[in-house]
Amino acid sequence: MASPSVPETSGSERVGTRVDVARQARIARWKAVAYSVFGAVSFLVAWQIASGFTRTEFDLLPGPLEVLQRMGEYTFGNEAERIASGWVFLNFWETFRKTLYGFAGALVLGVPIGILMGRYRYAKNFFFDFVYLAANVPLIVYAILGLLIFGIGDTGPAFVVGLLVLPVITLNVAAGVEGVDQRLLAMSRSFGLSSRTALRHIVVPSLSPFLFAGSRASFAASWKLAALAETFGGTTGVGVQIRKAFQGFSVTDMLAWMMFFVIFVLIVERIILMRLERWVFRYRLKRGEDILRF
Amino acid sequence: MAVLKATKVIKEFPPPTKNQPTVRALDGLDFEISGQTFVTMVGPSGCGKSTFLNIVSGVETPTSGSISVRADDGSPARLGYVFQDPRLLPWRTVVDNLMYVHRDKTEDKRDHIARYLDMVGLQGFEQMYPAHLSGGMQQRVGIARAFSVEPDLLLMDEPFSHLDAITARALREELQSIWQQTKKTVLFVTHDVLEAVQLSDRIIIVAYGGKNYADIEIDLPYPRLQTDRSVASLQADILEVFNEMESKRQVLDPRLAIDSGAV
Amino acid sequence: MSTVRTLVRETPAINMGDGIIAVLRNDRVARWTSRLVLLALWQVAGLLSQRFPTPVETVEILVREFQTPFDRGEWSAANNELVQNLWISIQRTGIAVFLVILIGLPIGYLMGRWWRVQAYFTDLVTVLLAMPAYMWALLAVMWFGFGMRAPVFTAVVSAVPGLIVHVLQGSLAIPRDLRDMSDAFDVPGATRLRHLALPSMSGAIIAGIRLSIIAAWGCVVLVEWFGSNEGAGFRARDWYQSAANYNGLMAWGIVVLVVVIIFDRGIIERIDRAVHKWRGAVGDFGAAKVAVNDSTQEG
Repeated sequence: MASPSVPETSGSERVGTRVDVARQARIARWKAVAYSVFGAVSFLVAWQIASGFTRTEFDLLPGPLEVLQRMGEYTFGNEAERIASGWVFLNFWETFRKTLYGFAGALVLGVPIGILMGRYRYAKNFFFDFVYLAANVPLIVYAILGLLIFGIGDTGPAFVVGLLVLPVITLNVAAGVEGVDQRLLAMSRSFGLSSRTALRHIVVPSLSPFLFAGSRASFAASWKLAALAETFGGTTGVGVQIRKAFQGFSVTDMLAWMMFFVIFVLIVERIILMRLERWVFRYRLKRGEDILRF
Repeated sequence: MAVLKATKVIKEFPPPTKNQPTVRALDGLDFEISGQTFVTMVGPSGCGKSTFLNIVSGVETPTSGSISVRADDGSPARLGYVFQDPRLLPWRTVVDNLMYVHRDKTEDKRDHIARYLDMVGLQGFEQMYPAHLSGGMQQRVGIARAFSVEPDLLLMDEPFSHLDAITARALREELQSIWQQTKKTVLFVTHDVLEAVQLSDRIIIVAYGGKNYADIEIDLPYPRLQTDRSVASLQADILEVFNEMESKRQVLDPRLAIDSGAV
Repeated sequence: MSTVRTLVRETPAINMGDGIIAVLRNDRVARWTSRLVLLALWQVAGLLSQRFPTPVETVEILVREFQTPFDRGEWSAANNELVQNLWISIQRTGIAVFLVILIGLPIGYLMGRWWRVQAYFTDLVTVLLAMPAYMWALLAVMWFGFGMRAPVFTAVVSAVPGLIVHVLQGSLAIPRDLRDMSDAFDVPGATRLRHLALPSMSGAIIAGIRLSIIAAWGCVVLVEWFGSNEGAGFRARDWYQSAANYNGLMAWGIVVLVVVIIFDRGIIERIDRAVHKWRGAVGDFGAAKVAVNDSTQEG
């Protein structure tokens, strides 16, 4: 984070006033929170104003409160509209399941291929194009591919998530293997330690930051792809609900699902993954530092 | 008119973890420097020398007390700074690195700057990138950059400590000769007593925790070599002062391990 | 145990005297081997399945697209279905990217420079990053209907947060010691921006712009699929839905992919190299170690 104040350097005096340093730090943190809140509030206000301007018979832009209400209905149910209670959780669980399957497949395939690519030059050249290509395919192409191969159903989304995540895992593992600190390996050898020890204490820990970074980065993308694939040809899950909202031309429903989507991604990514990452890499933090927010 | 005047400067930092006392890096440091002297600040590692320089250069502000940095006529002083590491912009050439710290970007300025590159022996290297220079040459560029600003006060923070002994020795002699030519006011920070005795008119000894300890005038004629008898004997005297300082600190807090830096 | 091989090297020439195994192991040959294998697998998959397209038929469709005049006009090498639709999509992407850079670059830099700006925007950027592009696409089609606004809007909203994050990282990564040096010498802001900030951020900026362009391209095609009557995405869906011709779908899928590859390899790599000629070479995986020594002393 940028420093809380830029002291002036061009005057001729550097004067200090007796201030409690710890209190200063606390004040700085509160100021940051205040600006965050200001940002969020100004956004909501702008939204509300914009929705006032676009009222037509199609209700193009509902205000924040309407969307919130719909979100409440999806959470707690609404007898009149035949929305089951906990509807949102059911759908997200479906999508999450497919994402997990895809991820698992990608790990199972990706880690070995990555190790091969990092270690053996032939493997690197052989798989290089495939990995590079897979990393740059626009998501819609993947979704259509899933539809083509598996038709309507749930395998398609899981499969394409796997395809999407595979190159990220592979490349990261390969980079990790390639980047193992040679000096540490040499040190380990000079003490007469076995290969397995070196593998466990040097190679695997060198790999884990890359693996982590790759997983975390591709996590959000894989969620999105799962939902997209469901929209195209799924039978259950968030994507299907989105499709229905689109076909029914309901902006309110669409916005409600979008908000939920964001919340779920944020919860999983920030709370769970970030905590995990902080714990795994606690040896790296310098005094007073925190994991970069993105 | 004093060029630099430090008045009871105190600098505290928030503790590394909660429930510990704040860290006090400087504790009432107080002294004055007047024009055209070469002053060295010496002290063990952790005595707050770098923190003090940070405050002078404006990167930090003191917790209490004040530092005033003025030119001879009383206006705010122009500062030059030489760091431990060269701190050159790696994507600019040598001459562009020098131009970076000048506001006036004309051709005349370029010629003027060329003079300083000559002084450090780097004529012909103007168009090279820092990555192509050795550590000693990069540091020379840093020195040329600081001198080229023609500062009222030149700050040098252990500029030779990251160089090998041979290069450092050569640069010390060059620094002496440049200083003779330009006669700037210099505040030089180091933990190396021999270096301090060789280079300076006056040595300020700072105790661990950022307190004044001693203030010694040096009257030997220039140029000085580290092999001169007078230099060596003066160094011995000052080292005694250091030992005295260390033992006093231990008496105050017997838990402290000996932290002698490189003294 | 043998140490890990380090890999970055020139491609050695193929000598006629080497055995066939040595030839097969050559870098270039290895790459082509994988491409051919992939192609072969594709053909086999196509033959096996009723629906799945084959390479041969896909190419046929591409040729046919090239030969059909655009929108019942006069045919020419420029005015045919293939080129015109592609050009429309590219144009839309270009406009979107221009807007993305215009908005994202300053915000990202300012967020890195001023903590207030960072605090203000951070939550918004985080939320926007988490939103899937295709949901924006559906919204945009509902709001703007057919035409240019929907694809451009979607691409901008989807790509801006990514660019902001990259530029922010670059801005935060400006070496602290060089910043301190600039403070010590009292260097004015404009000079710092030009000589310190921008060159230092150039890597992150280029990476961010590259990703923005690829993301924008994907978004434009996506929106065209859902709600447009021209462009690459529209064409792809037309073949799929109206003609039930999966080869046509695959053909346009390949076109979309090829554009990405040409752009990335042909343009971005050149720019990256030109901007960074003051540095040495970097490994293929972008790993920190520039491994030139081959440390494979076996035994």
